[in-house]
This record gives sequence, C-alpha cells and structure tokens, in this order.
Amino acid sequence: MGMTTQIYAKTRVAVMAAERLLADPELESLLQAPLPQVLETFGLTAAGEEGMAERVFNRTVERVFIRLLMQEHATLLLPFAGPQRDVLVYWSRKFVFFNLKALIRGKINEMAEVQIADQLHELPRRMQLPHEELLRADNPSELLRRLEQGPYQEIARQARKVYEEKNEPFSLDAAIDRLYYAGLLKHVFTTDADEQRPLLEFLGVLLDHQNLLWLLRYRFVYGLPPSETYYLLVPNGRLLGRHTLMQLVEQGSFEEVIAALPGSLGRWLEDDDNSPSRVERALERRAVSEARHVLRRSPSAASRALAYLTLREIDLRRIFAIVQGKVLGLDAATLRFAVGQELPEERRLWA
Amino acid sequence: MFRPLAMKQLRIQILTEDLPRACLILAELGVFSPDPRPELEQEFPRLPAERYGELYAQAHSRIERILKLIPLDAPLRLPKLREVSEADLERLLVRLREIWGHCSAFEEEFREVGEEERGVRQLEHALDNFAHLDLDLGLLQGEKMFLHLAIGSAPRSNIPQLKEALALAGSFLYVFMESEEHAHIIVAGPRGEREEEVHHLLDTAGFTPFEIPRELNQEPERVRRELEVRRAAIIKRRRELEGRLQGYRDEVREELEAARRTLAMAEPFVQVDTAARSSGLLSMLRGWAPARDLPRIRQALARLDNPFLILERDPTPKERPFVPTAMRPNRLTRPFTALVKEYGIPRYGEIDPTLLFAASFMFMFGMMFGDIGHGLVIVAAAWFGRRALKSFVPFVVGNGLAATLFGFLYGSLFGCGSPRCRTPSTCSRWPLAGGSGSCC
Repeated sequence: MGMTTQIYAKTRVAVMAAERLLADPELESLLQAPLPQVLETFGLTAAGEEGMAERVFNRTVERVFIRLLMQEHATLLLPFAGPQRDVLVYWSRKFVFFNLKALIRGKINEMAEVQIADQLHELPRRMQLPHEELLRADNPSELLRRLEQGPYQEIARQARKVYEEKNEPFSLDAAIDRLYYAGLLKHVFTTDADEQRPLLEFLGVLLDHQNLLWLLRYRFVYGLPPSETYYLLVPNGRLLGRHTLMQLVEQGSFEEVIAALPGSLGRWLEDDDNSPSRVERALERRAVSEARHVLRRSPSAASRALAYLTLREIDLRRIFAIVQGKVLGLDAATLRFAVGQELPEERRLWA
Repeated sequence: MFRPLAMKQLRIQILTEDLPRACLILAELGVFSPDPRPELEQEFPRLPAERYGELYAQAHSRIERILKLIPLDAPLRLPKLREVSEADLERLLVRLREIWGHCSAFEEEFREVGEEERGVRQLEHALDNFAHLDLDLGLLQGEKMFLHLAIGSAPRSNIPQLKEALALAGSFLYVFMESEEHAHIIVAGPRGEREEEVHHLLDTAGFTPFEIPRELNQEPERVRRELEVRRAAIIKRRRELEGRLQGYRDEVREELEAARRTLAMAEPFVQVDTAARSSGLLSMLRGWAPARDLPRIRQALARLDNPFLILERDPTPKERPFVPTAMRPNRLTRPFTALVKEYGIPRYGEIDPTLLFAASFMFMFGMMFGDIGHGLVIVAAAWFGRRALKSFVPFVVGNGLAATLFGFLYGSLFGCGSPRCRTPSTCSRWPLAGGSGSCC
C-alpha cells in the first residue's frame, strides 16, 4: 500500500471516527434523552410509531444499525486493496457466520422458515448466503449438503462432523466461531510485514477477549475437559498465548482462572467480583481502550480501520441497548449497566 | 412517435373464483402490469394471492431442487391453459414433498458413497506410506492393555492445535503423511479415564479413523486386494444407486413435467401479489395496460364464466413514477429498443429515444466504418445469417447500408480509394474523399 493511500485511508478513518464514534458525553446524553429523540438521532422515527410489536420494532432497529455498519464498512474499504482489503472484508463475515449459526440452529430446532428468517441479519447482497435455498432445506443434513457445495465448504464439513456425532448446538457454534477467527488470522498472515505486526497486535487483544470468554464458558458452563476447551480456542492472543491458555484451561474453577491471568490482563479484572458478565464487561472496556489507542497511534491504516469498525460495532450495540431499555421502561441504573457502565453497589448482587 | 404508449389504470372487478383464470388470461395477453400499491384495503381486506403465493414458493423451491437431480430435457410447453386453484397447488406441494424426500435420500446416499470412496482412497495412500515406514505395524493393531492407539486422518489445518490439545490430555500425535487437505496421524495415549476425553477431542477436530487390517504386516497384497474389493463395491453401489435414480427419474418424469406446467400456469396469479384484493365473493385486480389494448383485454376476459367490470382512468401526475413504460413496438427498431433498455428504460411520459438512438447509431457506424465493399459484405452477412440473428437482422442490415452510403461519400472500396480517384480531376465525384485517396 503506497504512502499516499495509507495517509488517505488513515484520514478517512480519522474523519469517520471523529464524526461518528460516541464520546462519553454523547453516550451520557443518549442515556438521558427521551426515546423519540434517540430514535430521531438515528433516523428511526418511523420505527418508533405506535402499534408496532416489540419484536418487530427490535428487528427494525437492529436492521437499521447493521445496514449503517455495513455502509460504513463499504466506505472504509474504498482506499484499500490487496491483502489489507481482504482482512477488512473478512471482518464483516462475522455477520454471515451469525446467519449461518442461526440457520443451522433453526433447522436443528425445527423452527418455521419465517421464524428463522426473522433471526437473520439483513446483509448486503455481496455478503449473503444463499438464504432462500438454505432456508428451504428440509433438515440440517440437507442444509449442510447445500453448504458443502458453496464457499463455506470447510465450515459445513466441520459443522456436519460436530452435528452428526455430537448433536450439541453449542459445539457447532464453537466450531464456527473458531473457524471465523482462524480465517481472520489467516488473512492477516497474508499481509506484508509492516501491516502484519500492528494487525496481529490488535487482533491479539480481541482474541484475548474472546478466548477468555470461551474458556470460561466451555470449561465451567458446558463442562468440557481442558484438552477440548483448548482445542476450541484460537491461541494467537496478545497476552493469552499458547502456553498461558494451556495453563488456564487446566485450572479447576472460574476464580482460579481469573487469579492465574497474566499481570496486565489480571489488572483489568482485579477490581471486579467474579461474575461472568462483569468479566465480559471488563474485557470489553479493555478492547475499547486498546481500539482507541490503535485508532490514534497505529502505523497501519488497516489496523485503524479494524479498530474503527470494532468501536463502531460496540457503539451501535450500546445504542441498541439504550433503545431497547427505554422501550421496556428500564431505570437509569440498569440502562447504564446495559451499556457497560457500573451498577451502584447495592444493585450488584441483583445483577 | 417519441413517447411510450399511453397507459390506463385499470380496476377489474370480478368474482373471486374467476381470479386465477383472469390472471392467466391477462398474462397470456402480455399487456397487463399489476399495480401492487396498497389501496382500498378497507373495502377489500383479503389478499387472495398471499396463501397461494406461499404455496407456490414452496412448490417452486422443491421442484427447483428436484430438477437438479432429475433434469427435464424437453422445453416447457403449455398446450392448453387452465387455471390452477389453491387446492391444486396444495396437492402438488404434498406430492413434490414426497418426490423431494426420495431425491434427498438419493443425494444423501451419493454423499455417503463419495465419503466412503474418499476414505478408501486415503487408506490406500496410508498403506502406501506404511510400506515405507520402519515400523512394526503389528504394534498399531488391536487393543492394547496400557496404550490407546488411533490411526486416521484429520484436516491438515487442525493438526498443530490438535497436537497441543492432545498433549493436555496426556496423548501424543505423530503425523506420518500429509496431503493437500488432510494429514494422516497416529495418536497414542494411556488407557483409562482420559481415553474418552481423547475420543471426544478427536471427534471435534474432524478425525476420521482408519481400520488397519491385521494382515497388513504379513500379507500386504491380500490387504490391497481387499481394498480393491471395497473400491469395486463402492463403484457397484454407485452404479446401483444411479440405476435406481434413473428408474425413479423415469417413474416421475411425466409427473414432474406436469408439475412444471402447473406451476407455470400458477405463476401469473402469484405475480399479481397485492394487486389482487378480495372481500368475500368479490375481488378487485388493479394494474396498468396500454390504452390501445383495452378492447383486447375486454374481449379476452369475456372468456370468463361470470360477468366482470373494468373501470379505467388516466394516471394522475403523482402516479407517474409508478406507471410502467410500454415502448412502441416496431419490427425495425426492436433491436435498438433492446440497446436503449441497456441504458435504462424511460419513465412514463418521458421521451422514448429509440428512433433518435437508431438514427445516430447507424450514422456513427457508417461514418466510422464507411466502405462500400465492407458495408455490402455486412448486409450480405446479415441476410445469410438471418436465422441466427433473428430480430437483429434490421440492426445489422441498417448498419451495413450506412457503411455503404458513407463508403460512397469517402470513395472507399474494401479499404482502397477508388481507381477513378487517381487523378485530382475525378476526385470531385467522391464528395468526402479529398485528393489523397489511397490506392491499391
């Protein structure tokens, strides 16, 4: 990537970040604002019309946000070419994989086509799975046969193995998640050395976040043995590398895992009590902090773009949480908790 | 001349039972465009095509999938049009579900045969590899008292992490052969409580076990023969499967052709979508049609069993964006119309540029390729290739004639200046040739 293009791409990311990412005061004002005002800010006034069912409303808002994110993603892609572009394009596949999971889960649970379709993200045409054909599959085996004929061959094969031999939907999700991150890493490894290092560093932070959550979930919620838990992780994190993860999966309890975390990651969690949701929140705060740093300082334009997309996705999730909370009439403290802020001490137990 | 055809908004009021037939008749005429905008929702609350459309979509999706396995060679022909009722579609859907059930089972069997074949191929490769290993294969066979052994293949990309994960379970992984996608591995570990853990882990990692024949050490040729037998059995199974599928194809082909015809005849009613609304026995169909075709529409709908009423009006200025454009049909300009449509169809009320486009295209072509000989060759080629060119004959002939005309103006015949142009005095006969025409 030429110097001029790098500068152009960085400027584009910087302008978008300045214009669109939520600063703390803006988040605060959204928390304080009445629902119609929040909806108006994001062009959702029509969605707020009375009489719309809550489920339909939520879907409408979610679809608007995904569309917004995809539009910004397409804008960000413009200056990029080659492997850097491939990395950014692959990032957006997470929504395709989400749809894939929803499709397979829906078929396993024998849900109606309409119900499954309702759970799918509306994605730009270039990213879509052949939804109609997959939706109309009569059973998971047929769905997997269809997928095996397309670009998701590898995932389909893996999913079939997991599905047919275990029939546990979570292990299917785990396999797909792992393949997504492995695919992202594979793309990062094709970039040139100057881009690769910052991309790996940032991706490493995201992987630390994911790996720790997966580890806690697989080990202590689904009760998987250490070896299988380790296999389902992606050991390319920044702080949680192979050896650390191998040590962590062997710990016998949630608390022991938290206590055994390496120093700087442990510090992010040390003030928290040991509930999974609070760990998730702390990790998200770390990811946000790191993404903001990358956005300002990274020498790589692709890393900055990836950081922007990560932050924007988190922002949109927060706004969605605010909208949902306001529709449900939740109090201010719960809303703050939903957007990643702290609950007052007396409410922590309830949370 | 420069405007698309004048359109009328039609409201056809008919009995609900006549609706599918009316849609079929209108589709046959090819001049009616349904208007799906919501209107008169209070008076006509039902959408009769809604359930019909769902049934059609399901049936269509099934037949599409079936036709991938049982292709129909004959092109679709509709000898006699008849309306397709909702009950007809329901019956068809049930039958297509049954047929698809069979086809899906065939597909699954083909997939299994493919997998089996892949397994045998991998085993053959593995045995080739074993032959070069300095290893007593007897050690890898059968149950061991203290050791759990597994031999098989796994996706190559999974191996590094699987190796580390197996180490956590106290087992060891050795890669003895690698192909493009798969790695052939031996996994060894202690027997006992962790055996199950290893088994689960291997499953998750996409491990496919090989059965190492007991005779491999002493009688490798016998093992090879057995593999040959397995391969032959697979080929036999595939042939038998193909034979069964062929038999099933013959059994259901006519039924599928009939189903395809039924769906083609059901499609017009599906296409009207929300343009058809009903209230009890009465239905209303709304759409656009060229004003000049109204008599044809009335005449065609007279074939319905029950009376009908057509209310017509001109489009309002606000409606213009929704009015479809019907270009003036003309045999000579039809190919140019196709080209104009590539740029975009003019909106209703806008100028139809086809004639201007045709004239300017031929003018430009003639000007750029002006040559008497080449132009006449193009005309002749168009004439001789008229069957292949079909409606594009006037397009090619027109361009050929334009090239010929400009050829006269340039004084060019097959790329050479005219012989008469060799002296400046004769140049004036060729208006645009100037005095420097090239000569052969």
